[in-house]
Amino acid sequence: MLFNITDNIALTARYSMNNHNYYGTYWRSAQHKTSLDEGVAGNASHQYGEFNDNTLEAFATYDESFDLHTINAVGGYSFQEFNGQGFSASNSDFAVDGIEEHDLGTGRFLSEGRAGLGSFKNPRVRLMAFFGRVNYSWNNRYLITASLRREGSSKFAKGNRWGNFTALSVGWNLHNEPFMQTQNLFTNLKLRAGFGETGNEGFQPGVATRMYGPDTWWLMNGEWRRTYGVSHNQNTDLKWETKKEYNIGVDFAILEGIISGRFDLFKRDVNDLIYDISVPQPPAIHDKTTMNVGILRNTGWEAEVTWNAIDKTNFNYTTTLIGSSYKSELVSLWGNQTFWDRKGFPAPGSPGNAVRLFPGEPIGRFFVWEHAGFTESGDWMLRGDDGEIFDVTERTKTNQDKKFIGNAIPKVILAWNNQFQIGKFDVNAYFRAWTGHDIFNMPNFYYGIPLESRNVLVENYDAQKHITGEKELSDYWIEDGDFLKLDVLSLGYTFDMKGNKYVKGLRLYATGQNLFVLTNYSGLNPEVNINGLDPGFEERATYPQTRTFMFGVQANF
Amino acid sequence: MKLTKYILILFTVIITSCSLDEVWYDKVVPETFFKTEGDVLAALYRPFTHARWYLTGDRWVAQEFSGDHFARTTKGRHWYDGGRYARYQHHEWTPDESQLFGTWRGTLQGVALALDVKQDLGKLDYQELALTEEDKAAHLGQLDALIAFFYLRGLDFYGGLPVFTSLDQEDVPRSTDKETFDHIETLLKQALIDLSVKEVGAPQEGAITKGAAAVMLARLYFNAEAYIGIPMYEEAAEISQALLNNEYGTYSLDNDWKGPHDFENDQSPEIIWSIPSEFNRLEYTHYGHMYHYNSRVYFDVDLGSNNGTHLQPSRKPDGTLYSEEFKLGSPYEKFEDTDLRKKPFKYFGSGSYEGMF
Repeated sequence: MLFNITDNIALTARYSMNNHNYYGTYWRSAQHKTSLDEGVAGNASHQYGEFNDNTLEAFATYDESFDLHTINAVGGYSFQEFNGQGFSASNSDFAVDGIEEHDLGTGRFLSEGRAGLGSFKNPRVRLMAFFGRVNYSWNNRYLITASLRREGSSKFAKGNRWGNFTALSVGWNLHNEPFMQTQNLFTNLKLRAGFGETGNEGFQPGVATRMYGPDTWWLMNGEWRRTYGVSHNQNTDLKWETKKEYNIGVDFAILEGIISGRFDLFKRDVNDLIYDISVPQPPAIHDKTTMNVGILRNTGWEAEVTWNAIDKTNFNYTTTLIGSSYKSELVSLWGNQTFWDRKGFPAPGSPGNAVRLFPGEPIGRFFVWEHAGFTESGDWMLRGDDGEIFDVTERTKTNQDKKFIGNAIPKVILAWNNQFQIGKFDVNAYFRAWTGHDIFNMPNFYYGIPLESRNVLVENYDAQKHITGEKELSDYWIEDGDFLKLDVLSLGYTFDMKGNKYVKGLRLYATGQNLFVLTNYSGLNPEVNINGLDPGFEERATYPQTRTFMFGVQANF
Repeated sequence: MKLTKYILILFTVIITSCSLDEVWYDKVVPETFFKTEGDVLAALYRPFTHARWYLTGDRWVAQEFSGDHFARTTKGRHWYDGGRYARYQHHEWTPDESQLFGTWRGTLQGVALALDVKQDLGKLDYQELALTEEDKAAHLGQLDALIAFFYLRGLDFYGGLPVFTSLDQEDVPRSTDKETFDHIETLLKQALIDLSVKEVGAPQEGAITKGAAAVMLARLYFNAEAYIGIPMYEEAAEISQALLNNEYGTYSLDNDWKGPHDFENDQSPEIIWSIPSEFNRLEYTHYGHMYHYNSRVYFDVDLGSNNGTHLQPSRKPDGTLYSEEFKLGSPYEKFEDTDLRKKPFKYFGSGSYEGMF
């Protein structure tokens, strides 16, 4: 709905409903290895669920210009509600394999009380916000934008539900100043500075409420019943996680726009970071509480330069280079916590944690043992805390012996785009590169040692034959991650359609994605997760990246 | 402008009618939880299911693999687990072992769960739920005894622990061994007053009765010399004698060695406190760690098995006994050859079997 109340004021209201339904079925044949191993003739299940999101948004806009002033303002309200519920059933050991998952009731497990049946209905989650924003500019020289958002979420306890998030940015179009009219180097020169806050409430609802949920069975007066107890630690003090972003920057274009670009310095503080944290029990009942744990800080720069290198009728070439670099640091931790262990490696082997975070120190270092070769019989040697090299079968390694090794965050991240136009041909090549980072190669760690009866990567069958001791969580598995990728290469040809009555434009093209990666990294993909608190691990179960080739025709009628 | 007015009114109505209160469907909040005796029992026994969990996992690993009877050896890529099982076996464990931390947490979580229910039940008006004050005292007595059970295990593992008597306390420092010992003694003595006696002939269900509190107290006194350096064998003997005199309930030794371990062991007169178990209800899947992957073929069941734990061997690879070098260990060969338990386990069907190995 849109109402124009006056020439300057307009009211807009929007309502949207998003309904997501799923109905999944699963069937495992009686002939499947798992079925044979477990001695169960097949397993089947059905799951049904529906999720319903409603959004209502209403706002008024105001536009006005007089003399050299331009004002644009928005004020409004938004409301969101999320609901969900579902149902699932499973059964096993079917008389007839050919029935597949289509007649759940015929499995033996149901008659024995071992079939699965479950349902859920999610708590109602609501989000509300009042917002306002004002843009003001004077003579297109001085620009200012200020905004305020007051946002409320039902996930927090009363008193902590509402958060206020402000933003302020200023810009100065230097090139529009009278004193800049005498020069002809800059066609655009703008200085910018900004501050902005945003709120995050991305955690499971329920933290603020004391609730009882089911545990396992117990005998009560001769009958088996489920026990009920407090289902999670209540935290009524939890408040909005707030990201505060500060940046200063400059936009420029010189030589009549042949070279343009920007440069930004930024600092992002995530205050009251929300995480599930181990807490002392008692007084807490469960191991973890969802809490505001500390401050995470990112600082860095980002630069972009575009060069219209060649601009002729039959030959154009434009190239853009974007570079950025940042550092992450955990500024503080909750309470009197001195460190935070993360990234527990799973079985088989369950070797422990590979990340330990200390407040005031950078994020992205691996906390592992230092590898110091192998014994003649192929057992692991590590360098201890005391500098001594020892055989792990002779001396017990301790956490004390672990060291901070490597750096998971690239020193520089680069993206380089090239666009050519030669006559009727056009070519686009997009490269990306990261440099100065290390990767913990988990596939190699888990499939690295060719001992009997285990899965091993083909190349390790020979390459790591000399290792006979079980894998150790050490820097042996950490590699240099530098890479250069050709992300996209695209070639097109545009036909001349002048005078054609039916087709106004026709272009043929071919595009290849992920064409090559230049790297010394031995894993699947050196472009691993570098965000969050545990960057730099290539996961054991990584889906390989695909290489895509596309041929296409674009026609305008 | 009339339209504007309506719109404004509509928005005002929408904005003011929407509350940010949480609405719950598949969990229960305290205000609506306690309505029947069943609800009280469901809450009362929640810390008991923790006790059942507590007896397995980290606690079992830390206690048994260091105890020269069981071992979990590396098999291919499985069970090296950073070398921890070997360290327990060789008595070279370090404070970093996750089982030691897990046991500490598991112990105190048991205390936390029990204190939480104690606080809930303490506030309840039992008469409104058609229950008596004696029921309430017996329920609180069970919780006191269960808290004592966790502290008793904790004292055995670590010595002194932080002594909590309510969840309103924060940053409680670790008490001395003696203070922890005294706290356990106080809890058990109170429980001996509050608890009811197990009815003669009634099957074991998992509830704590007077007899169980008495046994725990006897155990505490019996180990007092080790725990706090004060021998209290006389006190231990006194309670034990009272138990034998059936002053805390009627118990006797089972006629059959299998009685306390049997499928029907809830009927055994020997058992003073047990944790109930039944197929499809509470199952001891923990023992899947002790089965080879194909054990299910032999047992003709579809249990999961992890091929981990086994007895520590009594013989060297050349067949000679370890008993000449080590006093401890040799869990199999230490049984007399005539011992009925030393026979291999053989199941005859219908709940009847012979042997233990």
